[in-house]
Amino acid sequence: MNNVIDVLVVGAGPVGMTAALAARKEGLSCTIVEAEPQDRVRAGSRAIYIHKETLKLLEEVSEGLGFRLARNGVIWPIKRTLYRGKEVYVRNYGITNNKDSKQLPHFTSLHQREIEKYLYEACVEAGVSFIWGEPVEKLDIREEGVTVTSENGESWEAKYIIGADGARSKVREEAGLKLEGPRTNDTFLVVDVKDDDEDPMPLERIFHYHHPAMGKRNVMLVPFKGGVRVDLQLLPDDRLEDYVSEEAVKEWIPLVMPEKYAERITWVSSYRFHQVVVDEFTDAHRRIILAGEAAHLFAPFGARGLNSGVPDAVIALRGIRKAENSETNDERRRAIEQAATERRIAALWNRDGSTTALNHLQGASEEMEMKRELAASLVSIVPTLGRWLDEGPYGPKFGPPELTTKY
Amino acid sequence: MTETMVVEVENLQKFVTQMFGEHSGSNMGTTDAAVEQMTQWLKQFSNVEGRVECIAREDLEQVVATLSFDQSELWQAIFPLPEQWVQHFATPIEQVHTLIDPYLQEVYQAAFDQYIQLFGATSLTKFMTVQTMALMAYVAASYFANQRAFYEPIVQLYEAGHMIIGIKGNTLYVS
Repeated sequence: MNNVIDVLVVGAGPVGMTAALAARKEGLSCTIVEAEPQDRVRAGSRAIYIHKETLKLLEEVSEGLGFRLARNGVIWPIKRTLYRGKEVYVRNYGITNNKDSKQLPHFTSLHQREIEKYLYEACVEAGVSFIWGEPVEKLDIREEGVTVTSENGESWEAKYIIGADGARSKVREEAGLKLEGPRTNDTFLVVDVKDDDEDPMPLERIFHYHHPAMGKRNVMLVPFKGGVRVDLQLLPDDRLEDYVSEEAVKEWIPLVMPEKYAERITWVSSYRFHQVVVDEFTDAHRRIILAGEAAHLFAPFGARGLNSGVPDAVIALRGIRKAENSETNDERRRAIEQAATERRIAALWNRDGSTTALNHLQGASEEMEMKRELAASLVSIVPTLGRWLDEGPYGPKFGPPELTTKY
Repeated sequence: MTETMVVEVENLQKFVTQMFGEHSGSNMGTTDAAVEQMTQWLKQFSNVEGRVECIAREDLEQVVATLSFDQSELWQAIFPLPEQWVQHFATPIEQVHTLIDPYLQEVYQAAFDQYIQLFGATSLTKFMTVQTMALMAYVAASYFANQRAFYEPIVQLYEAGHMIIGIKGNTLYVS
C-alpha cells in the first residue's frame, strides 16, 4: 500500500489527540480525521477534572504536557459534604503548588475546552496531521489494514484505526461492535457558570445531599479554572422543563450559590446517563481499537470518562507498537487483543464503580435512604460515616489487578 | 489509656453483655413492662405523637420491608440528637472516637451471633445487625452525654429479651 498511515485516529477530542501523541511517541506516523471543522463549538458540558494518573500518562506521551495542564488548572484544597444542610464531612488538603515543575499534583481542574487546546498544541508540535470537516462514512477493514472513506469521498489507508469518535461512533458501527448496558432513570442537570475574578467562589468542592433550598435534590459544586460546575440531580417526578430552561436555571441558581451567578451561566445540559461498555474493544481483524466514549459511557461521578479514555488511548498504542514489532500475524493479533482486553476489563470496572456511585446518590430504595440518614445523624460520634457519605458519590478508588493503569 | 477511659470501655462493654446475653430475643412479640416503657420513652420527643407496636417474630420480615424514615417526625426528632449530645460530653470527643470503633466491633460480633441463631443466614440477620450497630451508636452517644432517659429503657428492653426493629412514620416497632 502506498502512503499508508501507521495510525489513523478518528475523532479530534482529548482521547483522540492523546492517542495521536502516544503514536508519535512510539515513532508511528499519525493523522487525525475529525468530522467537525476546527473551530467547532462542542455540545455538552464536558470534562473538567484530570486525575494525577492521567496527568502522568499525558506527561509520558508528551513531555511537559502533564505539568502544563497542572499549571493551567486549579486544585481545590477543600472538599465538603453536607446532608440536609448539616456538614457531615470536611477535608482540607492544604494549598498545592500547581506550578511545581518536578511533581505532578493529585489532580487539576480545567474545562475540556482548555484541555483540548493544550493537547492540540502538543499534537502540532509532535507532527500529528489533522484533517478537519471530514465525517467518516465507511471502513473497509481487512487483515492487512484499513481503508477509511469520508462522506466527502476522501479516503485514507492505515495500518491501524483508533476509534475515538465519541458516543455515536461511526468506527464502532463499521467494525460491528455494540455498546451494552443500561441507561439510568434519573435526570441530572449540569450548569457551568463563569466565576467572578473580583469576588470568586471559595475554592471548595461542595456536595449537598438533599440541599435544604432544593427539596430532596442533591447538588454538587465543583470549581474549575475560571468557573464552577453545578450538578443538580432531579427527582423522579420532576418535570425537566421546570429546571432546564434559561429562566428556570436563573431562578434556582441563586438558591445554591450567590445570586450574581444567575447572570454568569455559560452552559446548561441535562443528562440521563448510559452505563454501557462495548462488547469488544477491537474488531475481528484486530485493526481497530476503540477508545473513550466510542467504547464506554459512564455517569460522571468519580470522573471516569476522560480519565479512562486517556489510558484507553495509551494502552491501545502500546498494543499497536507491540503488534508492529511482531514477527507473525498471530503474534500481531495477540498484541492488539491483549490491549483491547485490558481496556475492556477497565471499562467494566469503571462502569461498576460509577454504578455504585449512582446508587449511592440516587437512593431510590428506602434501605439506602435509611443508610444515608443514619450515617448523617451519627457522624458526630462515628466520623468514618461522614467519610463514607463523602466518598460514596465517587465509587471505588482502585481498579482490578489486571490493569496496568489506575482507571 | 486513662483511668476514665478504662471505666468507659467497661461500661460500654457492659451494655453489650447485658443486651446480648442469654435472654436475648427470648421474649420477641410479647408485651411486658419493658415494651410498655418504650411508650414512655417516646414521650421525650415532645412534638411527636409516637406509638409503639410490638410485632411477632413471624411478622418481622414483612414489617422490615416497610420501614421508612420518610415523613417521620419521630426520625426528625432523633436525627439531630448525636450532634446535640456531643456538646455535653464530659469525655473529650477524640477519646470518644477512639472508643467507638472497638465498641461497634464488639456490638457487631455479639449482635450477629444472636441474630444468626434467631433468623439464620437471611437478609433479616444482615438488616438487624447493621440496624443494631446504628442503635448502639446512639446508646453510646447518649451514655457519654449522660442521657439516661434515652439509653436505659433501650438497654432494659434488650435485656428483657426484646429488640427494636425500626421506625415507620411515627411508629416505633419492637419485637
